[in-house]
Amino acid sequence: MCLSACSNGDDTSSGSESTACGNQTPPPLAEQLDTVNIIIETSGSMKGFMPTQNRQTAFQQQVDDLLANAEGDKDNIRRLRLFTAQNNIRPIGYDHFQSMLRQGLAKAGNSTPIPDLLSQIASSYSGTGQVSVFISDFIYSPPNERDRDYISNDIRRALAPLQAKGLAVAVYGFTSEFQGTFYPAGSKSGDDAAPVTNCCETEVPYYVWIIGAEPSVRLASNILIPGNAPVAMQAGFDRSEPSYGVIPGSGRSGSWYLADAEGKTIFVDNTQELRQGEVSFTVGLNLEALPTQYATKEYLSEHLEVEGRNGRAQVQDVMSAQAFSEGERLNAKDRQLLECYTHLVKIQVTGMGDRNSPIALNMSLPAQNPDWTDAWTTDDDRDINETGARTFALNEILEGLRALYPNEREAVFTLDLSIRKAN
Amino acid sequence: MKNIFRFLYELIIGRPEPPMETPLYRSEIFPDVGGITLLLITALMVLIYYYVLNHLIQTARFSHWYHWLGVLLVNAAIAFGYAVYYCRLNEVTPDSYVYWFAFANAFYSAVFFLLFSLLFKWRSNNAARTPF
Repeated sequence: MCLSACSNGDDTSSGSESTACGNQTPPPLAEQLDTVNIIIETSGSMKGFMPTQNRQTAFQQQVDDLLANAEGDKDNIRRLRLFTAQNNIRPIGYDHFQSMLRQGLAKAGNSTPIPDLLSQIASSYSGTGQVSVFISDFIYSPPNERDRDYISNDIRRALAPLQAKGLAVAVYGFTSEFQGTFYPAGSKSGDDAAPVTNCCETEVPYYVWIIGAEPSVRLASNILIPGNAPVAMQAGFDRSEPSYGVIPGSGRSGSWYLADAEGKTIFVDNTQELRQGEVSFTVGLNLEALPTQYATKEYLSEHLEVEGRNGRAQVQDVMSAQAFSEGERLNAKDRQLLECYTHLVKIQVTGMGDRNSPIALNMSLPAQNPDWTDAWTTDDDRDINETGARTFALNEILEGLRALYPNEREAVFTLDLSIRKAN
Repeated sequence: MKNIFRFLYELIIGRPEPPMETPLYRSEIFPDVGGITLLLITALMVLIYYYVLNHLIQTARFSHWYHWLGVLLVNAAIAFGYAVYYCRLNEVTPDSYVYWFAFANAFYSAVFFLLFSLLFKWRSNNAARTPF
């Protein structure tokens, strides 16, 4: 008897769950990938990641994992093509690719500036049904000293065809041991850089760029990099307003209540509470479809802004849905609602102007480089062992990528809430 | 009508607690419980007292003030019980406010019982002078 009662209860709760969240559209995901091009840079600077003698590096393991993930998913990936990138991008057989990866890179080629390679990929290895995966250390040393101030524009120009084709890019950053000669880009002040032999005591970063239509990039990321990379960012994803709403019964103070189930209008009986800063509430956000760099607690905590008309408010706290569920004293009625959201933002109203007019709050998230780029970038990589696992001018490279897309100049989202006196 | 009940209840027990339940109390529970117990059931109980017990039944056995008080208390108990039942039916967040509301409802049922008594008692055969 208990069994049937319990299962009945479950049925009803799961049935109403979908209605509780309203009509949230899941992020676009391709059903299948026609062609996946894996392009690995094999210039001299990459040799240290694939040494011929010493122990295996994390790079070799991680790239081999990526390859195995691509091969293993025949249902989703119809054709897998492998390439090396030196002066040009050339196809390479599977066996050759794998022996190069596992036994080490015996013959490294001349290096070609990153923008040239990106430009080749953007024009010839991207298009309908194609996803290109580019693996490189992204050490870009402009041939001309004065060009060092134009790195982001060089990258942006190289990738220009992507914007015309409506394609997106996902960047995943990793670090690996490096055993061999390290070719630094130099310093921003233009000092020449000598190769560092027998490098490195520190790990060296490398990056996997996945280029294609947004739904394909999402699917390719899921397949190829299932365990999340240490750092990630995506650019060129469509912006859709995340679903959001005020949580009625938890993470709150003051005697306000919601006007309706939508959760976008708050009623107060007593505006005195607003003036005295006694009103706080928690807004649930579903940031599932956002580029991952914007949906981190750190980025949100640092950049999320609340502006008020006829009132003032401030962000008190940003929490993941899980942390909120565990930390707060939850109202049982909110439990189901919380499943609709990935993040929660606690907002405190700190003042009010005219008490007979509503307060209009506007919550917005500006688009900037991900927080992690500062820790992964350097202006001078000549002494890599001192500098640590950082890439020369990475923030400019990523800025160039973001500058490609007009929506990266706008706020990631702007959401409206209003607080008004109840009749 | 909604506003009258809201005024009556909040006058003695204050705003709904927890505050998130305010719309539920104000637009559902207050008018529904007030309408059914204070108006409908209380009027019915008064009519039963004056026109069944003290009119159709010919003996004046129930015409004393304590009979009247007994029916008033039964009515108050119904008002209390119905208020708690209705809150639970609407799955309101458990809070002591539910019981304060039930007490307030019982109190008002007594007030309404008295008012209806004054209104209806004069045509009753045996209890036209009950309670006074």
